[in-house]
Amino acid sequence: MSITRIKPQHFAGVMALLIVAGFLLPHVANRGIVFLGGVVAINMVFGIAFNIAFQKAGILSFGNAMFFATGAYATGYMITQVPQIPFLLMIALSGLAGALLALITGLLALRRSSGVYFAVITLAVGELIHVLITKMDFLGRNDGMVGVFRPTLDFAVFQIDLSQGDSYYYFIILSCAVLISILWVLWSNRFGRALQTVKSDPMRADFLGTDINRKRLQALVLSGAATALAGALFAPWAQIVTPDLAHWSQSTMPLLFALLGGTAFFFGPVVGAVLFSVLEYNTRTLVGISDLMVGGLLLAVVLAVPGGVLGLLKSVIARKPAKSLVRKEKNP
Amino acid sequence: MSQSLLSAEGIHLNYGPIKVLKDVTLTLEEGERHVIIGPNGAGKTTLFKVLSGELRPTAGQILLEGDDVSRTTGFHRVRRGVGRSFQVARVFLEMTALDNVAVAAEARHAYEGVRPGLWRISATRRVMDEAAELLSVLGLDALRDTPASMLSHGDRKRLELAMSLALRPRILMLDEPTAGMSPTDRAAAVHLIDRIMRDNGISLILTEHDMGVVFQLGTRLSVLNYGELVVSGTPEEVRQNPMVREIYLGRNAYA
Repeated sequence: MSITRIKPQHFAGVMALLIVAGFLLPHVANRGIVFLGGVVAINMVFGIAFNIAFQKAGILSFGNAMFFATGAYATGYMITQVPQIPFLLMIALSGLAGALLALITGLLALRRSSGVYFAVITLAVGELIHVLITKMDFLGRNDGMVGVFRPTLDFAVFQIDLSQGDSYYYFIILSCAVLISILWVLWSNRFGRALQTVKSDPMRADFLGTDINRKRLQALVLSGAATALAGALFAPWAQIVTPDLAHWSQSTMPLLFALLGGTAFFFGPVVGAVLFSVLEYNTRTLVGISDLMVGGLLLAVVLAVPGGVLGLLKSVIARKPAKSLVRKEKNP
Repeated sequence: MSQSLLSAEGIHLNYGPIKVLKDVTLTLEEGERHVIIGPNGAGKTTLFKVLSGELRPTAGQILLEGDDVSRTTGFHRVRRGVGRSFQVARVFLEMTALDNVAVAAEARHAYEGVRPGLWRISATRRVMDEAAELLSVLGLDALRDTPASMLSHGDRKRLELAMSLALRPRILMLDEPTAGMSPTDRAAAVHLIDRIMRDNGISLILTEHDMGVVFQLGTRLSVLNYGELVVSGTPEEVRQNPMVREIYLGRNAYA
């Protein structure tokens, strides 16, 4: 497969399907599932934002929850304290906050470490952010922030009240579609290809004139910004923001989505996020062993299918014609 | 004195207590093809790494057209026109041959400030044309859509050369370009390198073990032994130098 000649038709087709499915959901499912649908859409962005750094640039971060929490807290704070700021600006500022945190983390850790060492540093910084949040009065300490209402989009000539009916759900679907599209462009274009050279062989990339430290930093900042944007969309959806969002266990979520679906594929985390929610939803009544089942299933998938669900699908599709070819040669 | 294209002055390099390079000074003039030779372990590859920016010298200066670049790393020197290959060819194994050259050309476009459209996803026409042309110059046309992981050793070397040329270097540094090749492939590689350097006006620094290649390609030879520069001169001067004979043939060669 060529990485320099990309056909956008496939991507557009999959996106169209996802958007249609997202818009149909409220018509066929109950409110609980619609809520879950919004969370899944946000988790798709969460997962892809992680995977663009992991798969494309080779940056393994165990601290992406801090970016998500940064976005959620920033939006939560602005909605409850300074609601006069336009909502779209709040989201943009939240993304900027995530980018800034990623920039600081990257400047501190990315040059000096890579691989597992970098992962451990992000884990530590993430925990630091988690503890800081629980100590800050203006962020509500351990209780978090409640009453994060869904605001009104003001476009001067007309207004959309996101607190009415399913309007915020549709807003999430469309926003996530835009974010996923932007991430796909960056995954596929010259920037994405440069990241791929940096991951594939950093020394070779260096001697092609690419500033590999700068590229890695850009990938981390992109990942942090997109994750914070996902967090920003989440805050008014849950209407409550708690320190749990910054807990390290939240950082494992995008990693699980990516592994489950297949890290090599742009849509890997999308598939992973859907599957994970389906699993979680169907085991929700099994109090106590729900986590165990989800964890066990994930372990099984990761050990048995290292390429994820999409990797398995691809190998199944690729294997069939090869087999028939061998048979033909044997019996002419 | 006219300014050298590239010069190394008093280069020392220590790996801990081991002195790998001792006070090495050499120059590369425009249009020259400078071959660094010497027995195994003499420090050829280390010197090569210092010149290209992979290693920082313990002491000494590297001047590129008179500017001190001693403290810069690989990509800085690439952007100033220094391309290099590796002893074991480094190509992006998961990409096709054409994509390998295309990402190299694209990297150059990027640092030269060429901006494709904001939403452009595929590589630009110019990048792809450049890549396809280089593949045909190196005779890799038939393999353009083959993943690099499936290419033979010799083809990977040629592919890497194509990638280096995509950077339009003024100085090319080749680390044992014919290592591990059959005599036929070697002759073809020498011919190819010779033609490309002439056609593009590229100055060359290479390390090489094969004396046939050394004397066919080199316009200037430098001999390293135990990290010291023994002699530097024209192929004829080096051939006549008694110390070089001693290094290669042993002290009792005349006995």
